[in-house]
Amino acid sequence: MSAVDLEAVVKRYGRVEAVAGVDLSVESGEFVTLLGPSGCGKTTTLQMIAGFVIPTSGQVRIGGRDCTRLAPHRRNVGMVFQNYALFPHMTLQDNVAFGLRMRGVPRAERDRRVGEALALVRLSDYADRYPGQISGGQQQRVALARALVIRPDVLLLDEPFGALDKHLRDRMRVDLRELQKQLGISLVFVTHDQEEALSMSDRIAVMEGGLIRQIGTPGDIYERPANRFVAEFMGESNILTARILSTSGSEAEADAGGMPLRLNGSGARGDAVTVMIRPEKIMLGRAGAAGAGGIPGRVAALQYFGSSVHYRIALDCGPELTVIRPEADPVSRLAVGDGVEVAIPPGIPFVIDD
Amino acid sequence: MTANPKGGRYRAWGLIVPTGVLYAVTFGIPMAMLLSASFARFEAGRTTPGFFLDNYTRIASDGVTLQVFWNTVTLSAQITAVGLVVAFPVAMLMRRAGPGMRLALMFVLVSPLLTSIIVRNVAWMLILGRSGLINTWLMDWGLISSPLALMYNRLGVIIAVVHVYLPFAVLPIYAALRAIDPARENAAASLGAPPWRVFVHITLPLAMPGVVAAFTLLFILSMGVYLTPVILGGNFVVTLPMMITDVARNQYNWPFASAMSVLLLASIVVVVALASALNRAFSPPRND
Repeated sequence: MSAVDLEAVVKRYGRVEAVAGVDLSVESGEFVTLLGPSGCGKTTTLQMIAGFVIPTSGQVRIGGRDCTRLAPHRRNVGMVFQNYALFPHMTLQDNVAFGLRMRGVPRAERDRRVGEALALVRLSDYADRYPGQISGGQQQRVALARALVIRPDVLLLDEPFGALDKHLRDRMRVDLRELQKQLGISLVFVTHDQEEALSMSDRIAVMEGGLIRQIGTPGDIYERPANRFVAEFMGESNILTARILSTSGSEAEADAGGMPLRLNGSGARGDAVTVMIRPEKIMLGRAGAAGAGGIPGRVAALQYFGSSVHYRIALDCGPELTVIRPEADPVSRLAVGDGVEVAIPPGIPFVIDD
Repeated sequence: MTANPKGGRYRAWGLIVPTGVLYAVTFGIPMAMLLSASFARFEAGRTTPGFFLDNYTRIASDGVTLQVFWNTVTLSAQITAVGLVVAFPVAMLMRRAGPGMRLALMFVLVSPLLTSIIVRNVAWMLILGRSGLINTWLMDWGLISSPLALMYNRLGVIIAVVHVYLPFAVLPIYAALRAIDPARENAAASLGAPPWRVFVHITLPLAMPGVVAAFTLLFILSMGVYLTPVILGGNFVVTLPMMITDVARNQYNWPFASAMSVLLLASIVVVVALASALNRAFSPPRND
């Protein structure tokens, strides 16, 4: 059974459609991320699951039960907010106990479950502190414990790592994913950070303009984006227009401004298609070096990132390509102006909707 | 400032010199005069400066002054209680209202402060009197058979004073409510708290600094009401400021009036101390 079902959910504010018709099913125990730029409707969607926002139309079901118009306190949903939203006038113990008190859980059981929840996030020693006395990362973990202790049907997280520094964020990612798997909890995660989405999710729903533009596993979304928006949002990409010369099965020969390509995707001869090539999949060699044997060009610009180097390659036949190579790659001693040869393995260029 | 922190600090103190001088002249000196006058002796219409405890002994023993003082305290407590209860919902409404509505509410709230105190109190007499608006209506509708006593008693005074001092209660509470991150209330709701429990457990405790400020302002202002009880209280509500005025202006007994004033001031100091203790009790510990 699915934990959360959204059916044709729309939220309109006056004339503005914040969410323009979203369908989404979160399976039990699944980690689904709503990913998109600010204003794409991801937070509004989350708030409709939580009950803070009532949809203009459509249906929200939690655990199979219609909750579209149900008040938040009648849903069994755990929520972690961007700035944690801890209760500053209560100890951590009381913060975590709050949901159980509201549910009338008897004192002994309450104390036991609060103790377990605090142990789960490694904060047992801090039970009597106040939120103002602990660090941001610890507050984050209290917020998580507070939402988990009520054993929610679904856990909702709204950009929960936004306020943490990069190091802590990386650690929280791993911790959250482990916790989610360990407890088998269904989880909806909202973020604008594609790395966060790729590294944690079972499935990602990429949103733009109040719509889900693509939904799939991190691999699907990154390797096989459905359209230009998803391709560009999910990281560096080369997007070219190509004309199909011939097709055979699911592959096609095409020409992108003088550059020959072997595409993964089909189309009729003479069709113009939009093609996406991930920059780290392009081979790069020094001009004339043995085994290069590719399309000739020149290094127009480069950026050094430590673990990788990003090149801007101007091909002699016209188009420009972004190429990313590991720093350890021997060609990484290239300089601006050097002659290079580029090779694009067959099947890597991927046809997308424009 | 960084180059010469010490000199910088002195310069910063220099900024309060004009205010300091103003306060010394208009507050410090009169206070000292009041205090010294309260220890003077008044006999047969003549004032003898010195250090006598006559006035304070009289306060403690004449049986009237302490009674009036206690009346003033209980009246102020009632005004404060009613004011806080009325102000809180208004502040909640202002928090939820849009900018236009908020401005309109603000204007209505401060409008009594823009009206002459006499005009305002006479208007209340027209509303609360035996043949005033409320009694006429209630009798016309047959809800009551004889007029209710809405003025010339504490009720009338409380209504009129709450009316004029309401903004001093609403604004601090509104400011405190605005400072509450709505996500905290949403968090409580998502944890299963129905709206009234969100209010009791989250909104109200987090708004306490504003409530304490409102309490302090209302209480202090109420301890000083004079004209409103004179007009709307008839001779049935006597406050310490009324007595002070009478003793000073009709009996020319400045030393005794001064001693009563010192009593009034001392009680206000107690209220302020109480408020700051409450504030400390309501602010959760934090490290940064």
